[in-house]
Amino acid sequence: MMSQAVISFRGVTKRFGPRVAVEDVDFDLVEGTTLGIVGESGSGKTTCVRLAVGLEHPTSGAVLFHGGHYPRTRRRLKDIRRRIGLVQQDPYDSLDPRMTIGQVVAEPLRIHGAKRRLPERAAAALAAAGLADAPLDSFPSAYSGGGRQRIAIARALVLEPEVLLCDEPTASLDVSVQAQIVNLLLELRASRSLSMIFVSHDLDLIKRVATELVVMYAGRVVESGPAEVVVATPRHPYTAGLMASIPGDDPGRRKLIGQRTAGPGATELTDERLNRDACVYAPRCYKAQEVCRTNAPLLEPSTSGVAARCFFPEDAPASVVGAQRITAADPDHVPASET
Amino acid sequence: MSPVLEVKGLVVDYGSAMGVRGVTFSLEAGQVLGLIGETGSGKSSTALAIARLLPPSARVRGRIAIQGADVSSYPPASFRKIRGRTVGFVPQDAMAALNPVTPVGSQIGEMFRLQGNSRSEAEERTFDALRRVWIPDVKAVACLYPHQLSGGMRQRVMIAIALALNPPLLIADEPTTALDVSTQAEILQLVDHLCTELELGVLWITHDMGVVAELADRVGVMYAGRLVEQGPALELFAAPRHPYTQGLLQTLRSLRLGRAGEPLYQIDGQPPRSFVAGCPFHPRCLSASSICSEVDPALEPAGERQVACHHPVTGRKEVTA
Repeated sequence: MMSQAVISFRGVTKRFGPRVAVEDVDFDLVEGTTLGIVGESGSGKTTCVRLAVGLEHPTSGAVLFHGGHYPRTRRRLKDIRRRIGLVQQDPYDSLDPRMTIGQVVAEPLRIHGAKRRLPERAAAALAAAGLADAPLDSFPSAYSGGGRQRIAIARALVLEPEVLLCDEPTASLDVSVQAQIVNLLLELRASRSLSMIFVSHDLDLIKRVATELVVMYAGRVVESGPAEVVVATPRHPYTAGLMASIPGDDPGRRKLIGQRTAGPGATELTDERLNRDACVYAPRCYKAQEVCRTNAPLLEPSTSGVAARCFFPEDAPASVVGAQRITAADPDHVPASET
Repeated sequence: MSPVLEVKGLVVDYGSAMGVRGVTFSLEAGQVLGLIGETGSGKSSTALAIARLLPPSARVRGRIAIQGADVSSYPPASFRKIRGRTVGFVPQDAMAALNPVTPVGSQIGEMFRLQGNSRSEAEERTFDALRRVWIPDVKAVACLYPHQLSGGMRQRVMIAIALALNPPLLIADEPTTALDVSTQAEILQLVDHLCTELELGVLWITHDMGVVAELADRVGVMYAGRLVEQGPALELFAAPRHPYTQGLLQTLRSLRLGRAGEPLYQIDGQPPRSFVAGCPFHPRCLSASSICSEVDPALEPAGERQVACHHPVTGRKEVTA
């Protein structure tokens, strides 16, 4: 690594009872960059965020902050917490409805022992989040989703952290408001030189925000690398499938309709039926071979700097690619055109 | 032949708030109407009103005709008897809609039993209903509980249930919102196929312009309880006439076309949370003039298309990222 890693995951596994939330996750958040984490519901994105902020401890592996382990005691964790801001998905859930917005935003200051100028500092944070005129004694209920998310951002930034973790920060907002919040985050990132982890299931959005990209599936990182390269030339079939499944913006040139990109039954496995000693994506994969169902591939880098956890990555020689795309028992299934 | 669905002057009044303030549209067989809007636009209230699934406290006015029959005049009990044969409804959250302690097969079969089918007939028809939504290995899947199915599978089961009694109309309320894009693509492909195959009228509620672009033949754009624009998808996407529609499209396209790190195109302000005098979009509208804050524009026909705006967009505007 040329630059310094702020947060590093080293072979991190987190289990909740028998359930595997994340497994063998490796990545670095490099200072001054934005790491995008993309994946479907249940792929382990939020668990990664909770691990990164020290709310959870890994079952095995290590999460590092500037190369050091997270302390296990709450008191000593505070030091790290002050340097990491967190913006959660749903500002209707994450703000205490009984606290005024002044209290909400000043609370982190109080927790970390600040005593003076709390209202001024809260007001400054709110102003930075675009709520310069908001009365400190108003309540979150007086604000719409976008306004609440601004309050949550003010709260996350009031301690002037060096890292901002954003867990689906626009997913619960109206379409016409999402861009406002993204623009605010981009602005703050630049003006405060923040390093960011940005979690989203919205590929269009993550493309615009992330410098590095981590693609998660069933708790594992299946692909990671520079965002631009991953988006343009995905190596893992899951990433490729995601990119091909983004709806178009022109009813005159439909990308998805009229074809069947996946065979029937391709999405059917739930976690409990997954074989974790094999490739977790194999049950859905169009080119899964026997080896994919019996062995677990490793996350292996290519010369392009993109690592993929796949025995038959998309950039492999043509002899292995282009195998039969769908093997389904459905009589009326039409093979999809190659994407 | 009369259209599958005709809605005229639909009003949904929740007492403290107006969910829908006079909406008129129609839907033909074999056609998908994409109804797009954000929180409080009235799109879900419209869907629920048509399926008659609103709580009794909501007052519904206006005419709702399905295949020419004015179902809004039916008493609740008689509508309940024909609902399954008249309209299928797919909600956003399948997990909440399905019974968690009953295998999905029994939940589908129950309907056939209620229709007077024998146990074995009901079972056979359940398997058919599951096959129709591209579920493989139907006998095994019928025995599974909802939590054992993936999100996409659960949504297919919901579609199977909605279509079990062969209604001419399918209403889907943001059914792909919780799914990832590859699963969403499969559901869109399935619905497109079923719409053609079964000659269904499909009313698809969404907030996602991309989904509308993929699936819809016609588009209705809702804002603050009103339809502000409607027309054929092709034309509406090529040349939106309402500034709000134009803003939504510009948001989507700037997201797609812009470079990493550049700011996105944004519509300032937020959807109204209470009644706004005049055009409800005027506080956010770049072309608003004084008349816009005084007179709420009516939905004016312009050829196949309708727009409710004092200053509709003319010509094609360049997209700036």
